[in-house]
Amino acid sequence: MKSPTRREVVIAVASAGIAGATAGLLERRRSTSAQGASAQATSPVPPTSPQGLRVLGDAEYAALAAACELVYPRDGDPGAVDLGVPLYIDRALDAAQLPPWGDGILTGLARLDSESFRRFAVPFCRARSSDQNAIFAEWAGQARGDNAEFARHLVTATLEGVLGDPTHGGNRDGKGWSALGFRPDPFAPSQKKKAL
Amino acid sequence: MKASESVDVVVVGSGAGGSPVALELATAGARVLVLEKGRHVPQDRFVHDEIALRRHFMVPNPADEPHTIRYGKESAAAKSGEGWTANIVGGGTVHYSGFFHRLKPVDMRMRSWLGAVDGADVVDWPISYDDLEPYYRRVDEEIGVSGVWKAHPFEEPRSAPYPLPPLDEHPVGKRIDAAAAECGMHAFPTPRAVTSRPYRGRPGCSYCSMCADYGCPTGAKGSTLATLLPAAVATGNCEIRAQCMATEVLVGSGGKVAGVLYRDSTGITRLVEARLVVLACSAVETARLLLMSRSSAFPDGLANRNGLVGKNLVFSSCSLGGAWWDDPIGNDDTRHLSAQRSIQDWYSMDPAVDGVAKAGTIGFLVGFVQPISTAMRVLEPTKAKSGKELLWGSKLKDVLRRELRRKHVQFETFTEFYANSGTYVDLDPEVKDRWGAPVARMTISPHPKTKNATRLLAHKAIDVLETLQPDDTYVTTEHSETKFLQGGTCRFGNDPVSSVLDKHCRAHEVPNLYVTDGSFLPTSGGVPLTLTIMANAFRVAHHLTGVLRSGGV
Repeated sequence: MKSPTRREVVIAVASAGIAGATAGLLERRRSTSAQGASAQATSPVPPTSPQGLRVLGDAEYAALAAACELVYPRDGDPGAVDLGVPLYIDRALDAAQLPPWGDGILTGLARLDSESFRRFAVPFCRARSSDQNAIFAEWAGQARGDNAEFARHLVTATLEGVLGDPTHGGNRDGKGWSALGFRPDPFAPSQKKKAL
Repeated sequence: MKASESVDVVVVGSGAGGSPVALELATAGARVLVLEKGRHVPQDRFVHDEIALRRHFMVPNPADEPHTIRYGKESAAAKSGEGWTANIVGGGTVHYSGFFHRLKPVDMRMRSWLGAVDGADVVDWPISYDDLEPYYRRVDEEIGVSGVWKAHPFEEPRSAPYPLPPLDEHPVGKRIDAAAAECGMHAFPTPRAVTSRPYRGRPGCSYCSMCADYGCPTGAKGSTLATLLPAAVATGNCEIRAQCMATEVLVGSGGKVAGVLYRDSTGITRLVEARLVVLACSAVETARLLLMSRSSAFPDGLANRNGLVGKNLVFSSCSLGGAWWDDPIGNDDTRHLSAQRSIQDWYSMDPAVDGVAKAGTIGFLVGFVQPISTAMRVLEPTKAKSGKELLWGSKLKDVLRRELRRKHVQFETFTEFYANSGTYVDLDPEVKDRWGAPVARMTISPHPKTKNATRLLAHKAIDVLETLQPDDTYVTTEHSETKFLQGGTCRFGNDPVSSVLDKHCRAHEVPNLYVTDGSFLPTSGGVPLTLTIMANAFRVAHHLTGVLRSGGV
């Protein structure tokens, strides 16, 4: 029997009700693709995926990038996408040990797209910034439930991607650290060779 | 099970309790095998990777090997990663900060000093501070402890100065001295298991300030991996076998133990026979191993005919907090320097202060240095102030930019945890580890005196910090337990009815079984436990050397 992919493992450990949401996402992925490059992107996040994604599909990457950018937006300093946070999250979901925030990420992204379609007839990554904000603010403001947990987990995952060592895929060129005034530890994985 | 091998001594655990025994007995010529369930990570492979730390680099993955914890016997126990000390060759000494305070003479005679305490099981030790002092000194010398002798009026008796001068310190250290003096307290440089100068082939500290939680890539921090274990191996008589977890101590003939069953790195169960078995896999896990080692001679667990294995669990209790400054507090050095300050004015009091006779140690640190946890912690007080709001977006960035540039001094306290009948380890009746063995369940009921003591120290620490005129102070925890500073599950004593081990840490019921981790501790004292565990292990090893030479086992 073919052993499950990492992605299948990630999905399998998530909570009940995932199967339907994921199937829905796959359906939507086709329709998203059908909209093609001519669709008017109103989000600041480009929907194109980088090469070498390990767990996330293109639609999931696009939704994740948009959500991470909401959590940590570009201003005078780099934002989540500038820093490679979605790539960090993709790699973390592929790691031997699933992060504590990893269980609900994929299903949460599916729900984000589902909610965006329901309200605005476009996937989350193509919704207007104000519409993306409206959905995420509603979820972040909830005291409990899957959506509230997804929002909390996404903030944690994003902070890891902004402030973790660059060798994990985020914090590109250490700019997540430098923007907040952190001096790199000489024994951090990305710094140790320079130190020695 | 694979065919057995035979050695003189099996030591289970390579941390503070096991390493001194391995070194001393191997030096004396015994063939020693150290079983360590964690990996061997060579020192030069250590990096400071916060992501790896957050994925349990140093401790077991709680999904595979949880403990369970409940507060009070009536509560449901919940799975937790807490209570593990470490999962790596060198044990908890690999990731400790190395705050090397000794206990004080009063800690060994708590019952004589306090009398009976309602709701607690306070006893005197079967040995005195004077019995332990030579071994404290031995540890100072082996590890290379830095500090200042006679720096404060509450110092315990010492027979020699520290081998090394104190570490360089952040300028805020001197300000804490002045603030403490203004409050009528006596701050002093924290003794550290970190070399301030090159010492016995190890370099002096490079001042990265990442001692806590991480392995030291230079060996300046005195883990057993950097000190005692290489010396033990160099004798030619000691093998450290990593990724080998002891699963049962086997009983042989004549009431003695015959050896240890362990699961090796490939999952195969093996048997090693030994004349002497020394357990040092942490107070919680040693109790678990004994309770899992059932036989017709010991149906309720090895050395547990009196039912005391796992009882009287103690921790180092703690309170936590700190202060913030908007402006610099003197941190203009390119190195990351620690505040390096402690206060022990409230260690033992006669008369009692605010009803507290015994508290412990306040430590001050310049924090924080780990970016992710710093960001997460910075968000917590903000979250508390603004209700349950989850910060994100530009508001999150603004808070991080503002808060992470502020200067911060943390305090943590190490406080007496009164042993009591409501705090113990047993085998969880339901939860198993990934190999199907029952996990350790901790039931915790802090005594009111413990809570009062941690609260007192938190208030005294805030008094000092307030004197420094910060922009903000906070207490995140008035009382908790530092669950990787654990002891007491096999307390030692002269009476076989009321203790598991004798004064040499030999099981009363099993003549060739010894325990040298924190399990022996009848009282916790008001300092981190690791130095005392090491000193006691050297004391027991000295005794064992004589036993082996005389053919006593």
